[in-house]
Amino acid sequence: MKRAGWVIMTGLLAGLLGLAQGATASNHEVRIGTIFPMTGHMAFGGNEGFMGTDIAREIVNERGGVWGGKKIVFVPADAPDQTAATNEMNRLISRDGVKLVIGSYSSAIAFAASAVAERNRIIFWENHGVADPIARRGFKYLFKTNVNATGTGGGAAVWAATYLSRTLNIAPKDMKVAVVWEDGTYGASVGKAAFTKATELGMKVVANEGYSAKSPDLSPLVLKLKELQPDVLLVAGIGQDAVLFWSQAKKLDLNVKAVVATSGGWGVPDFAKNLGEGANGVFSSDFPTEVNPQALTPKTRQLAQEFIKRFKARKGTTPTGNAWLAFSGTMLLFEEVLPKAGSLEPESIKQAAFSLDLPEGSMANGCGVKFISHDQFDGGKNERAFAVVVQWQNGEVHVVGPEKFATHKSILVPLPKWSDRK
Amino acid sequence: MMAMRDWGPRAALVVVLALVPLTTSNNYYMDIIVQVFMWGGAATAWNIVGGYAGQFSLGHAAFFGIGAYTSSLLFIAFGLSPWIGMLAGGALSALFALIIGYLSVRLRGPFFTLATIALAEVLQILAIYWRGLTGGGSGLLVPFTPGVAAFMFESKRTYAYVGLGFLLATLAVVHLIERSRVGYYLVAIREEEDAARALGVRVLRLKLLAIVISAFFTSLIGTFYAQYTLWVEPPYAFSLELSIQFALMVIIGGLGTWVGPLLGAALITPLNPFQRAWLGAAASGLYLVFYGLVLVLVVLFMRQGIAVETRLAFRRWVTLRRRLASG
Amino acid sequence: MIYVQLVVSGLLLGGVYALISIGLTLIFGVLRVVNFAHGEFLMVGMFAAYWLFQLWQIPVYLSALVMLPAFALFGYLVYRLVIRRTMGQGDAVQIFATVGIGVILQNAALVLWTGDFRTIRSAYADAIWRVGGVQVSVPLLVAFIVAVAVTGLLFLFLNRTMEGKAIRAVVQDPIAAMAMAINLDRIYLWTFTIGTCCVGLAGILLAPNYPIFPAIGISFGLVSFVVVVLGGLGSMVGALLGGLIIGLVEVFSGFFIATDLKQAFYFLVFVLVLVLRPQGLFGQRGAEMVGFGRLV
Repeated sequence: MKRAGWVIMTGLLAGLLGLAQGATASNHEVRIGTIFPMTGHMAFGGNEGFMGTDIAREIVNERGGVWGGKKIVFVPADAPDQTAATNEMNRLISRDGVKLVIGSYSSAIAFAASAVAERNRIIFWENHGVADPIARRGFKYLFKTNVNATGTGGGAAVWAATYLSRTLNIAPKDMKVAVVWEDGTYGASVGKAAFTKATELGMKVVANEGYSAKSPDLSPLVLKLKELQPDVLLVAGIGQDAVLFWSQAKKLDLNVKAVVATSGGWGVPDFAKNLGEGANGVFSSDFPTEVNPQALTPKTRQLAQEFIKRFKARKGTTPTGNAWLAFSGTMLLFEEVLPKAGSLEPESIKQAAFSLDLPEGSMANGCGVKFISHDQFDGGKNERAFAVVVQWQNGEVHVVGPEKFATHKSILVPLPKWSDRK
Repeated sequence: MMAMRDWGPRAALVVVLALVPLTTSNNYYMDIIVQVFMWGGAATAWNIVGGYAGQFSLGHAAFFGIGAYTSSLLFIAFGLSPWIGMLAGGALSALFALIIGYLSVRLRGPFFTLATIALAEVLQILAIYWRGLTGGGSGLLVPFTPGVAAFMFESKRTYAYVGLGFLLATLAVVHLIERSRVGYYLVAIREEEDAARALGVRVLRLKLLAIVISAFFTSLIGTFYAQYTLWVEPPYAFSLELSIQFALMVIIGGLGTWVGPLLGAALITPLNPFQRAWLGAAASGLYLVFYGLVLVLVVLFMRQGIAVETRLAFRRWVTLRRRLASG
Repeated sequence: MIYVQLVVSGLLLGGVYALISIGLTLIFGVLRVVNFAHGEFLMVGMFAAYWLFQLWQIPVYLSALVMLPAFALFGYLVYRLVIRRTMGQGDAVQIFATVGIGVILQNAALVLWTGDFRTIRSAYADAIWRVGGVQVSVPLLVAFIVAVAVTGLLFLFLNRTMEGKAIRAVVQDPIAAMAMAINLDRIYLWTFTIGTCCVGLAGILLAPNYPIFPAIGISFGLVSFVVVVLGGLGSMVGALLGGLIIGLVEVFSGFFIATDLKQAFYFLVFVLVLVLRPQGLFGQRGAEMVGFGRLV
């Protein structure tokens, strides 16, 4: 018996102590690292993010690459959690000699990974992380191309106080708003932004509740909300907790006039897949997806269509806000920054990035570009990134506001009662 | 009790450990070395309660988290040097251990384990809920201002040596316990608690002592972790996964042995990064399946852990060779 | 009105917890093994129901019948390969062998099926019974009824049948039981298998009501420990009542105090029970000190 144990143990250990060889550099290639949660519970978002990033690489390489024909090659890393993020960043930098890393889909991963980059003085190009503190650590090597929690969370509150207030005919000061958020890195940040903005706009905030995204039962929360009878629900869910919450709302008959979520689990195809008709009418203050082509520059209009085509070819579905972020932010890096920088040296990249001053409509997803200087608050962030409001209609997400970016009009305001729905 | 001949190998091991951080300048490998020292220290601390006193806590992440949060919060709010914050955290953990211990020390076997799990979970939930204090689910970011007083260093190698310091401290404590009367009593309690009590050993008091010492050192390592990764968040620092990890390393390496926990840490820690490098993104959770498998196999077939089993196997091989040579 | 809904929701949730805990308490009462992988067994049951529905459209109540032999086999294998080897080998072995099994199951599920939440989308899953302003989820009600029924059935089994009495004999005095020509190993095997079938059944019945993902075993597993300790290890009736109490505590504390804290409340209940009345409601006094319970 003991011998069997030995054999098995040795076999297992030997099997696991293999080491992959690091990639060797080549003069015709530009090696850039990527870090996303490709496995684990954020895998869906991570894979979409990587796909958006990769399509950008594909297009740029087809158009001739950078710096006189050099092709961009990715050194990918998988970070299902923060410990992995730190490990993988160390691997990319120390073992694989990577000089620039693109990421990361998740606020938590962004935190950890960018910290390693900062300490090693290499550029971290973040396209997705939303939590406000990401760009508030005084980092000098971080660039963040997207909007942050204040944008999405605040945007939800603004939508309630403007469009919804008008359409429901309730003055903001009379509008009862409940703010609900998952209590992790992402949700807490967005929820706080929504709460702050809602209070600022003078609405009646009747609840400000956190919940654990890992809890399999949210009925006390739903019942509490039912008791409070809010007009509008502002909610930040990171993943499938969105599905759980909304389906329990249906089961327990929680009726509100409108729901404005803030991306995360409320904006992904899984949401509609699991809730069917119940998803329709839900708003989400989200990253821009396919915006009104009139709002884009002619060059970008074409790029956007190209992206949709290639994404559909690879995945079969339309890209979500996150995929757009990845594509737009990476194209920005490859088309506008790298050519100007001439190399991957951090100082060159920084100079090139800060020199950009592009109007709205310049990025594939409709945003403009102007990076905030690193010695200021929110240093490294793109101040011309914004959130839009999307809505689920017929199982798909469409941009409904602000007006100049909208492709569709809003429906189902107020939401029908659950008993009147299928 | 320990024989004189154990001194030699232990001293030799310390020398070897001191040389390890010099074997590489690559940050990737240095990171693994730092982690092995760190988790080795934490596992050794757990062993005091789990291996020597025979009480299987699966709530030690509570002390780890307290250490990490206390020093970090004091540093962020008051600029207090994390070295001092570390001692504050240790004291807080010791206090908490006293409370937990007092509540649960009468419980036997799995009941004790369940109680420790529950208490660590409560702490995790509170850490998330009291977000005004702890930063909640968003976690706590320790600003990187390198300097000895700030307990932060530019060089990973420095971290490795500091980590080694912590490891050696816990190993020294265990060494002292082993040689002392306390150690003698703890083993008696572990082997045959009722007989020990009948002989006048103050069982409850000794178990409490073991828990408190173990908690203190686990807490110190928690501070080291916070200063190394500069990021603390409740879902990790207070997690059941972390508590299981401590126990797992000790069981695999050898429960109740001096070198077992370190051995377990050295075997287990590199598996994750290596597996990822080797298998790639193909199968992320796979290394954890291996952990589980190894745990079950060791527990069933190599009960005494790799340290002891290796020694026994070696002796058997020597005896076998001798017999073959003479026969 | 909201109070009625709260009580109903609490009781239904409690029924769920009771159903999950029955198997755990039975196994503990007889084998004196705390199965730390219990939550993961539940998770496997839930995934089984999901895949049967997803791939072959087998409805939940049919899945239960189909999977019963599979669970029995699963229980048999786990017992023969692992549990049997842990009997009498001390706490470390028993605790960590089952912890290890839990780790394996959870992460194997993660590798095979990813961490994505799965939901069973069927008319049954969404069925709600609206009575007087109170919403009662039909699958939960069914689970509740089954919990009570299973408790009753097991009670009858243990008290009225020869096999059942043999099991109780083993609990009371294993050596005397052996002297009476009762095969201990067979009894343990039977009990473990029945216990596994119970939790597998719970998984199948609960699958329509919850998102299914590998880590769900942890939350439910921890609650089931709380329930069995509260009810008294080894007591079926205790598991039922304990479950209901915990369900009510969770819903009420979540509603009145904070959603974030609801788990903390039942963990505190747990610790209080362990400290003040360790044998729980119906368990045997002193069990927690010597490591075993009474079967009722």
